[in-house]
Amino acid sequence: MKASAPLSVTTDTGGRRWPEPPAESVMVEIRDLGLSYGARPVLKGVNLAVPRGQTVAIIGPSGSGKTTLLRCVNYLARPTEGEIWVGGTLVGQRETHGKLEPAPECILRTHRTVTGMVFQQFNLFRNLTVLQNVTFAPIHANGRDRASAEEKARSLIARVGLSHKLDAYPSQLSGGQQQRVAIARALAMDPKVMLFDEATSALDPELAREVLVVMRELSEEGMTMLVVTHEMSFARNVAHQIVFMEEGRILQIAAPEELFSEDAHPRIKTFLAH
Amino acid sequence: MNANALLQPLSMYAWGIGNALFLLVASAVISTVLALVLTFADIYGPRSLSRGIRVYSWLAQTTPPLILLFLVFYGFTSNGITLSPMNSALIAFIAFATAYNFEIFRASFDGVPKDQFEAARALGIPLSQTLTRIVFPQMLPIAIGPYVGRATVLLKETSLASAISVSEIMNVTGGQIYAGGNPLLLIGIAGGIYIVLNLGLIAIESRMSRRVATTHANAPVKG
Repeated sequence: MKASAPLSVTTDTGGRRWPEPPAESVMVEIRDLGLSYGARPVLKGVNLAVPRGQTVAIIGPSGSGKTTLLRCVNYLARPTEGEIWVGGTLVGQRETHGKLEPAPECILRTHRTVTGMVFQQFNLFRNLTVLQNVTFAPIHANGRDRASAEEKARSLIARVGLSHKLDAYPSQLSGGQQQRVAIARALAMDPKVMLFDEATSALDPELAREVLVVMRELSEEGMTMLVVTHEMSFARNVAHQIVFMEEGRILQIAAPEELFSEDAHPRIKTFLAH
Repeated sequence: MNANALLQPLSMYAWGIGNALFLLVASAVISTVLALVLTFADIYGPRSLSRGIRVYSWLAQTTPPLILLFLVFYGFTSNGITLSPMNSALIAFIAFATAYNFEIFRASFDGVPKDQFEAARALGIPLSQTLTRIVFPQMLPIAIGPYVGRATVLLKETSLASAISVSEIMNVTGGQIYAGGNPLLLIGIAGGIYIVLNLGLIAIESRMSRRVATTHANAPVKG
């Protein structure tokens, strides 16, 4: 399976060789991922492949490592072992003389622009208006000119239904509105993958619904998405695959119809029964 | 009573007020810059540097300003370096004002929610942009009250510089009393001057607070 690397191995002094990238059709591939805080393992040997355009829901009990797994994808959390591939890029690593090396912060930044992340607490920039929140990263991280960044931002904000709030500050918006702005902000960077970290957990059911509608549309338009969620109906109706995690491991990966059926792992059936 | 007898003390008071304000503004500006440097050195520098900053801050805050003032003034002159009273006062004031401002800025930095950094990192925004355009603007509304509060204390503390014969407000007042003026009246005048100047500072503070509040709309985030 492992093809020979194009680089000479005579200079190899123990560093790991550049691994084989995943197939073109795979947008996110997680290989043998492990993360420990000191002696406490949080993730253990996680493997997951997300095909282009698919939505994967990650469910499981609190403390099972769902959020940590998601945060590893954009290296907000640094895995202690394993690989993360996003859109053909090995995240958090760089190649020096054919060997793997942890990437410095400036390279990590470019890796992170490939993924868009939506947080549980929205995390909008509090001192900026809705429009400024959405244009900030394109202008200050990607060096886009203000006019084109604003044009794009306006259309994204319109898409999440908030054109009338362009000049509002985050504190003047409801939680659902803030989360929709946060989605527009992430989309403004043209990410290949969207990561949702319990994006609706801080919202009441009504506000959660308006966010879920946007998420569903995105999924249907073919965005590749990893969604950590407690919204079982979203997982069931929107996701292509569901990942069930427990104690830092993936217990089962299955299509929704399988996971919500009698054939599911007994532990999952108990979890879903509540 | 001739005009000269009235004009001369007036011009001396003007001189005294000028010196006090110079001491205040110069030490406030320089200590603010230094305190900001210390704040970010404390946060992003090595741990040993942080420890050094803490020790300095602790020493500068716990030493009475008057002792610091004497230390600078007599310290330099006894080592053969001539330093004017005003320059000595400036150094001493900067030394302790920097420590107080550092503590204010450090606390304001901690007041900016950590999720702001996280969002910026996830978007691939360089740290320099995050600090200057996201974090610093959010530190301002938190810092402004304590900062101006500290500045009013600093203004009152400029009176200590009279002890090393900087001709600020209290030094001028002392001179007038020595020359035979009514002590109670003169001290009352000096007190009045400090009150008026500090009211000005407080007025500036409330205006700035209001401006920052309306532009940033920094109310707590609704759920």
